[in-house]
Amino acid sequence: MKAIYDPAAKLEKYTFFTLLLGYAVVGLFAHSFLSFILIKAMILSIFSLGYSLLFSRVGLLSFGHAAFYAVGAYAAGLVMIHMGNSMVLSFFISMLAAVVISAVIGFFSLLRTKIYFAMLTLAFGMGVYTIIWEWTSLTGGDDGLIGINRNVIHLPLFNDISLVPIKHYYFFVLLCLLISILIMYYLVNSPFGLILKGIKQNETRMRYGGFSPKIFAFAVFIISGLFAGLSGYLDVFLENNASPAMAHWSESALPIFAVLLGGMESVAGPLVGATILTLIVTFLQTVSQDWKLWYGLIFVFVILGFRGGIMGFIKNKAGLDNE
Amino acid sequence: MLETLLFQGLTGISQGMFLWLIASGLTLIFGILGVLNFAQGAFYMLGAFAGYSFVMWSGSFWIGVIAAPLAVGALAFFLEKFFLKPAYKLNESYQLLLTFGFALILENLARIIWGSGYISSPSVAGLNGFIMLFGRAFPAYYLFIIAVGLLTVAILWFVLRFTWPGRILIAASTNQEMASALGVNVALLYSLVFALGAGLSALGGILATPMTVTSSAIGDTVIIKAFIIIVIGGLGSLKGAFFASLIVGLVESYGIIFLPSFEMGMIYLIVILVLLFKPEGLFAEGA
Repeated sequence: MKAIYDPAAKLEKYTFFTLLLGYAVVGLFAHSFLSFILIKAMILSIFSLGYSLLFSRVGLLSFGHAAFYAVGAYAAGLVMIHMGNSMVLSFFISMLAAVVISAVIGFFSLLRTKIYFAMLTLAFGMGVYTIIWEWTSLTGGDDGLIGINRNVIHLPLFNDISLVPIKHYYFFVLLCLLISILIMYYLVNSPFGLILKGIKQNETRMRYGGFSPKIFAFAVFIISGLFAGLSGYLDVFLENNASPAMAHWSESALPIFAVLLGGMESVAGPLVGATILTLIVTFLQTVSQDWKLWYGLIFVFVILGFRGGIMGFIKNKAGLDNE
Repeated sequence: MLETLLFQGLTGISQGMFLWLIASGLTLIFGILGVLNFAQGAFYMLGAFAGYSFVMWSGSFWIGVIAAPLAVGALAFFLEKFFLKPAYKLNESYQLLLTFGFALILENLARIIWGSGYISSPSVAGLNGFIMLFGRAFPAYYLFIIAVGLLTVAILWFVLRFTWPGRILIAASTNQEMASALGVNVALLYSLVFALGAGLSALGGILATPMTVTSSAIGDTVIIKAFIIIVIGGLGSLKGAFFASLIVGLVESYGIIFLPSFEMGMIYLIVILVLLFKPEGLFAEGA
């Protein structure tokens, strides 16, 4: 497989490399507003990267991933408030919470597939939203959790690292993004990834081969939930608060949109899409109060006329359209 | 106690009728067009807001009840004709995403036009009284809603079963190519069905305004309940949509007295039970 010269795969690799290098270089010189926006973009990249595994590789459309994003954020916030202000402990609890909730919702939603799956993820995801909204004593209800500040991480063998300055946090998030990309790259090219590819191409044959598509879909659901939780964790320390809006279905539209915009068939697509989407949304938010309207219009345009996304467009122009 | 149970039962049935109006539109659109319409909740919300404007402008509730479904139906007609039609050749996920885009746009448009406040129509003359039932005063308006709901059931059943347009609809949903070969204008039929489905939802929206306060976020709540109804009833079955609407309406109204603030949780519990024991839905025809 590796022996064949594959210019499309090479393009993907260059795209990853260019984007990461771009983030690193700009991060060195960016002032704090630009840093804030780019951290947002990296967080959405992580979210979209995990989401694309479910959406592009398995072909399941979930409208409930904002719930895992919010659970990651709220779990981190609650640990910071009630269990002694440790970013490391809050990381582990946050990941654990995201895995547990995505396992529960994934289990029930995967009892049905396709369109039912989409409806169920929406319903269960909004169930989480309602719980966050109503359980005021724990979650602060409408106000959310406030005053969740970054602090110093104590690492054995290394010096303590303070994440308080936004520049430090920038490179911490960049590191998380790099690790996420490596994990995703490993997953897609591992036997696990090949099985997923097989299931998408010919489910019946894979079933005869002894692979249960449901179990693999369940595993992917949890992995994508974990990535959503990680992005929630990173976001709560950027924004210094968690709000119920994080769990709302319109938040689930962000990774879907990023994946579509970047290109469904591309591995680097989610990253490209998330980066550009964040810049577009930031721009729209500064020029118009009704940015969601424009956002919806672009959404409709991308689906009707631009389904290959940006990466598909580039591959097409370069004559690499091998799909 | 018995009176309370019967009273809550009637309340639940009237709630179920609103849900039926949305879910029947969703079922019709899916049955004929094969598209799960995410914007059905937005059409409900638009029905409420546009209808409210008509009521305020004309001074008559009934003008609102007639004008809102027509206006929303016309909007849906054009949305289908210009945006959904090019998507039929695509994967079903894209069609769902497209209607999801409609919902985003319509919700925001409503906020631009009507603001993010709440609206509530004045009570309807002639229906603002109470009727003594089971020894308690029952709002006449609720009985009116139940009557409207049952009337739409009867009309849909009659039209689909016994009339020529109904047979064309069933023919087109079974075999689209054959229907178009027989001279049915399938493209127009699709636009009309989408408009009809949206209009039913909008009717629910305007009818709800005299008894509840409505904000532009109402679409979220109702589309989730409609999806739950479809999961319980089985996709594509009008009978399923009707009974599942009643179940959800009743569970909510009894949930409020027995387990306050957990009524939505009860509905999720039912969904989970249905998924575990009858995953194809309670009233699914075939698989």
